[in-house]
Amino acid sequence: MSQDQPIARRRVVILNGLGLHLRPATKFATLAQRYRSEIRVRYNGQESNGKGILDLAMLAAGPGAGLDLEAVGDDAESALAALAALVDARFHETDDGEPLPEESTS
Amino acid sequence: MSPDSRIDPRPNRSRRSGFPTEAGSPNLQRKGPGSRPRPLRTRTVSATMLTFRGIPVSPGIAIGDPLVLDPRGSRPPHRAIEPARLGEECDRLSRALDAARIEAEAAEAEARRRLGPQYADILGAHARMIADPAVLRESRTRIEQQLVNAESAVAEVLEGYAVRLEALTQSHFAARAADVRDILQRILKQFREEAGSPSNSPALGSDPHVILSNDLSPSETAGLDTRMVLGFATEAGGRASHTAIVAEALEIPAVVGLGRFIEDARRSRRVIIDGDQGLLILDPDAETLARYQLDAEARADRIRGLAQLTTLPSVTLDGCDVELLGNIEFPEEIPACIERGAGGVGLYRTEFLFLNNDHRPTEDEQFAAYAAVVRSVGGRPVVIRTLDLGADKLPTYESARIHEHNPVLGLRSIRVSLRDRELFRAQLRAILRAAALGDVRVLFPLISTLEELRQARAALRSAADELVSEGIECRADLPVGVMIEVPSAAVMADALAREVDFFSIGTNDLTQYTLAVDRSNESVADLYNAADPSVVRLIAMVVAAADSRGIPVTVCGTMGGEPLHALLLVGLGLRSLSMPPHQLPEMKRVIRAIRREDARLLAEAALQEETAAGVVALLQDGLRRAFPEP
Repeated sequence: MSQDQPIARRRVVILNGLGLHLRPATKFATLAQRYRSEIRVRYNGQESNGKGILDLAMLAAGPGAGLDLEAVGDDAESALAALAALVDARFHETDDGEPLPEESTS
Repeated sequence: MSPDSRIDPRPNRSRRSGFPTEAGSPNLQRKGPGSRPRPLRTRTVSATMLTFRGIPVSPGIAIGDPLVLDPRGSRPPHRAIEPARLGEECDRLSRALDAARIEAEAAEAEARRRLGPQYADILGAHARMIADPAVLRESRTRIEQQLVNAESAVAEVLEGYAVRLEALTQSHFAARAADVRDILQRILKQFREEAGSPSNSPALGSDPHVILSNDLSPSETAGLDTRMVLGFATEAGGRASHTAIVAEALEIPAVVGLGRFIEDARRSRRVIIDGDQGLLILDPDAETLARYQLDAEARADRIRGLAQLTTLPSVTLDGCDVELLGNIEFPEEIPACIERGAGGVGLYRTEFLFLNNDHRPTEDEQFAAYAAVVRSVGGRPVVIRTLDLGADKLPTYESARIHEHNPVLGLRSIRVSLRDRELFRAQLRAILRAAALGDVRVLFPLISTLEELRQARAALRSAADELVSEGIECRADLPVGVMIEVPSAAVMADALAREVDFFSIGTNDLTQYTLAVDRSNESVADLYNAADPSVVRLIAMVVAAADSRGIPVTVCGTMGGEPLHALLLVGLGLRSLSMPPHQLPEMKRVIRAIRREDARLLAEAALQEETAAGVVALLQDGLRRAFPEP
């Protein structure tokens, strides 16, 4: 990515009971993949590719964890808005990891 | 299980016990030097007894040290590659990842339909993990920088992720390591399938073990040195699984479909497989172990008793000869047939030749296998059945890729042979050549119309003409038979009888097609009953058709080896039964204890019955009268 690409940054807090485990990470990465921007997620001194499920799961971000999201690309702002909404909506699952009826995420 | 918990109406079961009694038990002795350790010793090793219930597919008791053959614990072979082949190796990687993703997506869709979103979401996550660009990128980097094969590159990358996940403290994150290993297996499977066959025949070492696995592919099963296998237990699989087929053929106790147990089994020091009850017991307590040891020894005694029958003729009390033949899949089973007094091989299944190879077996390879069987039977007849690959048995065969909604009614068996003429021609040539070496007969499976028989005969004739014109030794006029296993063939048996030299009734498929029940489908398996009056009537029709043309008829399905059905079959007029070799002594004992006239009356009564339960009650009563002891 060249320097003159738009950059967006945002801090989100994991609210769901089980944290960023497999299903939430899948939802996060799947959503991130819809955007052209490169998306990085930083937590606890580690950095992950926001489009990679494995990478995200490696962060082991539990409930209460603050993630620093960074998007670089022409749709950076909208990408982070959508991802933050997903995190804020607790990934549409209950605190036990049961899925909740899902509204549109994008 | 203790004998009192059996409800088996059969008098005795001549089944190999997995417990070698001749020289004590080497398996039990391995734990302690010198004489057999007292079972109590095992308690000091800690473990708690765990019992799992599955599907019994091959009877008998196996007691021994477990050997976990689990791809999840093993790494694929590490191979250096030439720099010139880098591109090719990366292509293999991409293809395997794509195929694995597609397979996981299909599994997700299937799970969503049948199991609901919870499970489907996990499979969906697997599909997207496989598609995670990091997997491709990091594996490629490894291939390029370390010049290693794609399998080991992807395995090291994913194993690295799994290990890091495991190190996480929160349990639900650590548990994701299992998901990562799961997708690794899915990916590695694609490499094996692309290669046509897995080449990872596990090494068993020099001591017999009880084999525990998630599942065994046909090649893995066939690659095992079965002398080193006391029993099989698998997490997956059903009655038609390869483990089931091989275990039954080789008389090794086996239980499949046990659900997850591998993680528990890794710590086990000793296990018991109860192939009658469908149990796997990890680290049995002293009492359980002692009970099973007694049971195993009792079985061994019974087998020795039955062995004495080998040299006696197979004849009813009133002097009616009933020929007993062996069903085999491998040349290695011939000694078992002969030791148990088989009059020949009533059914030589040739499918394993096709399943074990990463290529189609050539004519010469087939000839070598058939010739080995013919040479080792000492002049007795051998019925070679042409390829009978059912859709349920052919995962490594290329046509398995064809998607069929209804495989048992689809392209299988003789239909494959008549469609794939090169394959059929090679097999027929190999059989015709083997026929020059002994008493060989050819059997066409799954014939459902006269046209199919005529086409198959025409193919046989042209293969024979070719061999003759090439000056290759063969027997062009070998006897030709058809399997009667489709109801249409049973109904048309009188017409078929005019065009063949013998019939062989395949009761398993005949029952399945007559009752429209797949017995490997657990949800309807209880509806399957070979003693259903409809099946009994069809068999009676076939025997009548054969008798009117004077051609011999054999029963080679499961029914042919079951004491419960012996009276019925003899009563219906059958004089030839073919069965897995281990059933021969028991069946001879039954034949020698019954009278043809009683059997005839019983069959007449069975033909009047309206329900399977009615027929079974008659048969149980008849058997009890033949063997009045409890």
